[in-house]
Amino acid sequence: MEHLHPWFIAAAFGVSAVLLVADAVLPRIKFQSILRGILLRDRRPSNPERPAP
Amino acid sequence: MNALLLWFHRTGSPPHFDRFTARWMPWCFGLAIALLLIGTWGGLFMVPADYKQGEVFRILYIHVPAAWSAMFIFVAMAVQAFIALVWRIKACETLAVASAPVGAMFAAITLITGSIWGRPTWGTWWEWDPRLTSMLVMFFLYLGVIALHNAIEDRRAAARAACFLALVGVVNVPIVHFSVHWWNSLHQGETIQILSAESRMHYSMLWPLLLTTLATKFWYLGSLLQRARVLNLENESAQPWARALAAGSR
Repeated sequence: MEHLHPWFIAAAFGVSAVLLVADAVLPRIKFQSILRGILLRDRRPSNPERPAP
Repeated sequence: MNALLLWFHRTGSPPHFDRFTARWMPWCFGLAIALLLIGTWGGLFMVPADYKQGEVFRILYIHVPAAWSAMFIFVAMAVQAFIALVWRIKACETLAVASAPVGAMFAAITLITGSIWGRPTWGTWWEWDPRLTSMLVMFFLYLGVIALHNAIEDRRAAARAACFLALVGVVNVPIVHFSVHWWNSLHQGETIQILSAESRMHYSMLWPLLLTTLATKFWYLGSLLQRARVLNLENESAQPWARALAAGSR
């Protein structure tokens, strides 16, 4: 089993890195999508609060 | 004291909170990544192999800091939830709800890396051992807080319900911590004694663990600020400052 130890170590650190990257990136994507949503809502012609062109 | 209260009051207002998080988040993530890289490098390449476990013991340099952080974040979330429920402070509701996904991520890392370590060391991927089971319960409690917050449409009611679950669930933290003392456990007991300073781990093997532990704390701060910023913007999307931020992001 000892010859497989480097693979176990690589798997543990690899999975951790993937989860950490997802934790950092996913909220950033959501933030950008909320900003896009606000922009689209403000551009809608039916929006009474739409700024005058 | 007045200056401190004024600072809290100002930072609690949504536009200031957004600027505060945007300013400090990159520093927290930057410090966390630097410490994580140095600690991981040290743990993988600089410390000697364990005389009993061999090379596979190096998994502890990510497993142990993740486990400590999962427990630390649950306590922090419960404190934030308590303040939010008792004093009805909206920023604390946001922080408590934002803590749950970060804690769930660290609990998942703990469970997965522990399982990968268990296969060559114990000969099994999983055992219904008190420490492992209580950590799994903690992971489900984190998922419960996230699910409860997403299940209720009224955002304030959703945050309060999630805070209540966080407060009730904190009872599991001492169970996770003391499980190796209270029951016969396959999991090893404490190797590192921070308070009594009688660590059974030699300093030559300890320093990368201290760095990765510090890194996970800074990661929590960075991720907490980032997620709180998202929730803050989501709740305030109709306000002029949020629309100005969206217009400026084009």
